[in-house]
Amino acid sequence: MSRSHRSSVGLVLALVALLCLAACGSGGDSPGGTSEVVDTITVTISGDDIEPNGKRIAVERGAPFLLKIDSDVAGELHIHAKPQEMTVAFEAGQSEHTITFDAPGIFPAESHAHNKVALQFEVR
Amino acid sequence: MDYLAHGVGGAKDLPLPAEYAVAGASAALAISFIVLALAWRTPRFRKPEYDGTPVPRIGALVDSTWFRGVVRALGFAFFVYVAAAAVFGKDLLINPVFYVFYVVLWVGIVPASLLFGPFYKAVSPVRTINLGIARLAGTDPDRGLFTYPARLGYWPAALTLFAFVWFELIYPFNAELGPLRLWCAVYVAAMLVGGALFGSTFHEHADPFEVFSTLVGRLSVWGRNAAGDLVVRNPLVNLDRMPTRPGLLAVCAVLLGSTAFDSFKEANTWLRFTQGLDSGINTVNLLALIGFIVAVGLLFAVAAMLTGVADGYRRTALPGDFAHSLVPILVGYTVAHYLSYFVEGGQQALILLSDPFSTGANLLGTANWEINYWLSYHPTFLATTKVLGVVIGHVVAVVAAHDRAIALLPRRHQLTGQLSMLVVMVGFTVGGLLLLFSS
Repeated sequence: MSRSHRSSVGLVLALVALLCLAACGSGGDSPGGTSEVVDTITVTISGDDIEPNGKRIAVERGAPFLLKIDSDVAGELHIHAKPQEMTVAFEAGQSEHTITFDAPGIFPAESHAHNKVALQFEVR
Repeated sequence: MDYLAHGVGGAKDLPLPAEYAVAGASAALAISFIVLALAWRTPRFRKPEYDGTPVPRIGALVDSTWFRGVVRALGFAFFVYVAAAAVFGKDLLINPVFYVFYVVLWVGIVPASLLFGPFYKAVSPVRTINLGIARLAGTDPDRGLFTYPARLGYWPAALTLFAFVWFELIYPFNAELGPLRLWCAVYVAAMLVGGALFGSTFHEHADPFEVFSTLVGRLSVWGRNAAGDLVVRNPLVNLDRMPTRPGLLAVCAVLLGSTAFDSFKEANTWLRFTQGLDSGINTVNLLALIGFIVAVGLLFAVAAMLTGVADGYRRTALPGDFAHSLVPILVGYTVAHYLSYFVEGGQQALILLSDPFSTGANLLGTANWEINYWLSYHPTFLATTKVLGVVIGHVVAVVAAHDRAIALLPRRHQLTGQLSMLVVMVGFTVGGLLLLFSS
């Protein structure tokens, strides 16, 4: 085995060690998202504008979530969730809706009238 | 239901956990250097002893006229069934045509071709029509009025594949029946005209689905030896024996770049940025899509050329000579990107196929099935499979490129000449994991 060969083997071993450190160092099963888990949020709809403009929020599976909507018109939010799609119909003005997610995933809440995503639920 | 609509919305998987992405990236890096340091020093895959094991019984079966006819008839029957739903069905998302087009056809090509080799070629409806016309006219289906210009290679497929990914990822009305029907009509028409002009050689080089399928089929165990007999062999040998034709790198770049863009587009930052724009969302997305494709192609081409070559060898031939090694990377990444979409969307397609005209029918007895979301309920399993897919694809790619490098490069450049390619491949793999982590 040549010298350059040996040094590449050394490099490989170092990398493998690094890999083990990386793989074993942090346990657990936390998803990649960094956002903090919340149990309520307010969506504001005025004209063409939807706040919070597609923001991603972390939500706990199986726990009731309070969705507050403040809108200048009546409408619907479609939540593309698994295993069931959800439709949240609301009147003009302020309204409150309780929803619960069953499966994990990233589920957008979309207003088809605006063709915009209001929120992304990151359900863990 | 609407989650096939790639445009806005659509449920998707949780991002890859950070430690999975890091572990995958480290593994890719480590294995790359192990291959470079320890792998064989004389090219293997082109040796005759790697030709594969002939399987005469299976060969006789799949080459028999009746078997080919049956497979072709089944493929065509399915095509007619779905076409009927597209033409006479309602413009609702419960029309099965959407799931068949985006999930069964586009994503299904990958597992079907991994299992059965060049699958689409055997069932291709445009080939069947071309064959029928040739039979009626008493001509040879493989030949047309003209000889297909060899220098065009796969470039037409790069264009038609781009037309597909543009429709799937950019075009805002891709989940409406009219535009989808139009796209398919143009596809069939273009393939028939091309078939009349150049015979089925045209389909081999221009049909987006056939080219994609044949490419992925190179990673199956099925191959043909020099005598044309069916053999079972190492997928790496199969891949290495793929003929190098112009445009192959472009095809791979469109496939990998577009899938990467699809991940990127779903990232929250990009979503919020494009939603904040007053207009021109589609233009911005289109530019980003083209940017991804061009970046993949250029990076790979430059990496392939950054090496010393033997006298008289054209450096510009190198990107094409190495393009085959991009196939495993794109297949691995496609598996990671589409796995749950395929499993769950595929079930949805089966269910919807029972009711092609949205009349509440249950023609196939599948209408009352429910989608099994096991995969979505097991995010750890899903994440592990994704990382494995990406890393295995990477390893196969690195080995394929290594064998090609020691076959083509002069001895003194064999080790150093591979470094740039290795760096770019690690870059693609880490980039892919990063996209899966942050989208």
